[in-house]
Amino acid sequence: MAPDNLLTRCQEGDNEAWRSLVVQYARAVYRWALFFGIFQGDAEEITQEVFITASKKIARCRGEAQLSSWLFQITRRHAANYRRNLWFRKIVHHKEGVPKEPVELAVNGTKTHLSLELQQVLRGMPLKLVEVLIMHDLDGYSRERIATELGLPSGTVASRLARARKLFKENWSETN
Amino acid sequence: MTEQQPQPDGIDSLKNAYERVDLPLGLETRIQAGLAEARRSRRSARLKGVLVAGALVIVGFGLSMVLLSTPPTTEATAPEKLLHHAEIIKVSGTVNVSWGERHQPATARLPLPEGATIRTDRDGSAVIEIGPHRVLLDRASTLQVQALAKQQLAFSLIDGRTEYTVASLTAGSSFHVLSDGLTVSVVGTRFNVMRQQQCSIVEVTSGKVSTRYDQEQLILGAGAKQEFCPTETAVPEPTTTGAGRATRMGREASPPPPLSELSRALPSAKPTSPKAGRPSNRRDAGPEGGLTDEEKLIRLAQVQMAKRESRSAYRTLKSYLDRYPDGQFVEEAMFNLIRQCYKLRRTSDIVRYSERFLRRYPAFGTRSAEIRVIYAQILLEQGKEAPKAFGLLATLIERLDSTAVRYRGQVIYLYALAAYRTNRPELGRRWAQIYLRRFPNGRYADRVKDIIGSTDNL
Repeated sequence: MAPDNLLTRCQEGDNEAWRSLVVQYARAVYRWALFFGIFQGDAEEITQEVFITASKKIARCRGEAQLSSWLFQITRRHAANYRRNLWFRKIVHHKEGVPKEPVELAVNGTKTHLSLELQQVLRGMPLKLVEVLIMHDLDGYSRERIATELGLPSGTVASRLARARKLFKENWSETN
Repeated sequence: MTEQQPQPDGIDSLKNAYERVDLPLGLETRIQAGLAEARRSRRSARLKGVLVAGALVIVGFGLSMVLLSTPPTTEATAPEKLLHHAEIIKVSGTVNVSWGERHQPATARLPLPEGATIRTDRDGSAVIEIGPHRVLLDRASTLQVQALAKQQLAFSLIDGRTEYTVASLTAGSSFHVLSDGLTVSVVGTRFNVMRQQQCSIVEVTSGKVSTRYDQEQLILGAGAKQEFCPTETAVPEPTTTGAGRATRMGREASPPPPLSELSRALPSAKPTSPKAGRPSNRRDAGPEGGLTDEEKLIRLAQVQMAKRESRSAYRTLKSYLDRYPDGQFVEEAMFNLIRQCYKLRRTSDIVRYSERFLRRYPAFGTRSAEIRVIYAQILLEQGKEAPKAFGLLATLIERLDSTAVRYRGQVIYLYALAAYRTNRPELGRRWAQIYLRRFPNGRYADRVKDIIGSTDNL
């Protein structure tokens, strides 16, 4: 189903369209949540919350905007809230949020893991840098498209991307 | 459009991992269920609004006031809580499900709401899937679904036998099974709960569960089997199916239980004489289920360390070493005590306990390697006994590629420093250069550059 058509049908409250939307984008949302540095169990909850938010706000989704970018922005906002709450939990309730088990990745039926170090490095980076890194290096968006979707000048995107890569490289080498 | 650019270090691992992430089992179903629930809830809220407005117009202000003061129904105003999707995935024989006024035979893929009761006949059994968890309902059993919230899953065993396979729980979420006054709380595990007349029996296959019965808490490890009966029934001896060793092994091998569970468990342990009719969790019970005083102390220290309460952990570990100088957890206690001393910068204690540790456990291993690093660093910081620090670090440098040696950057830096301080400037310079080659942006890069700078005239 073409995204435009899907969006219109979702806005009309078509249950089948919503089912297709979940099937198409659930994996992407879950992946973004994980790579925003959210722990696995919480990433699952945030994925659910993203779709609930989307169902409430779908009327505001602009037709010209890509559905995936819109969902990405919702995920980003949830991730930002989560990071703030994580800090609050640690400071006020003295609760440790670090999981004991790394995230399981399924590859052709066999199980492997997303390293905790990798998530640690991403969690240690500012969200505005991580989002550019995910969009450009992982999702393959061009700088111009990122600039349009984030409402930033192209130069800002370029500098954030350079900073993100540098910081990631530094933290990664230090972790290893 | 993708821009082709050389990828910086680590980005390839990132990309690789990104491509491999797959949706966890059942998440899609849960999202669909959550969306349906949200839509239902919004529709219901809209309907209520329309009804109230209509009533306002038709009946008039007085009646409308009555309507407005009526407590809103749960469906209309309840926050959209995240629910686990529960359904029966396998049925054999006669199995019935009932909730509210509804009764129907169970079929595969039948969703179960909160409050549903599942009954199996003498010839029946059923498997229920709740997100990543599974429950097997044996013959002639009755189980009620109490709560399906993401943060709290609860079942009530009314009769018969059930077997639970619980995936790891996220922080803040819980999984409980209730059975006539007994509450079994799960820590990520496989276990059975049986109901036989007045008694409830818990049998742990793997992992660990925490039980609460009549104000007493008991942590059961793998292999443990425990009966819980009311006081007035005959005294059932705690059954131990090889539980002694199995419980201990389970405790050592599995990750520690959630802090809240342990925090509650530890102070409540009362070393008193057993009461008739109830299982005992006192120190006498020992491996049959309860923790001994020695284990409680080390568990308490673990909890304190996990909560980053270094000072309390320090006191607990010291107390452990005073009370049990030859106890079974001495190595662990001493190792952790040194780490806490390091965090608290108690240098004299670090020196004292590191000496003792290395004398007692001279074999090279992960713990002794870490103690050597801490001890050498303290010696170098104090500016004394650099030759001793050099000796300690030399053993680590010899085994630098061993998996036992962590913090390799720190080891190389300290070795370069110790060599420099012990009049071996060439060696110090060489290792400082090695550090820079291996960790060009490492934490100690500036310090090793100082070592190189001060040996430039060689």
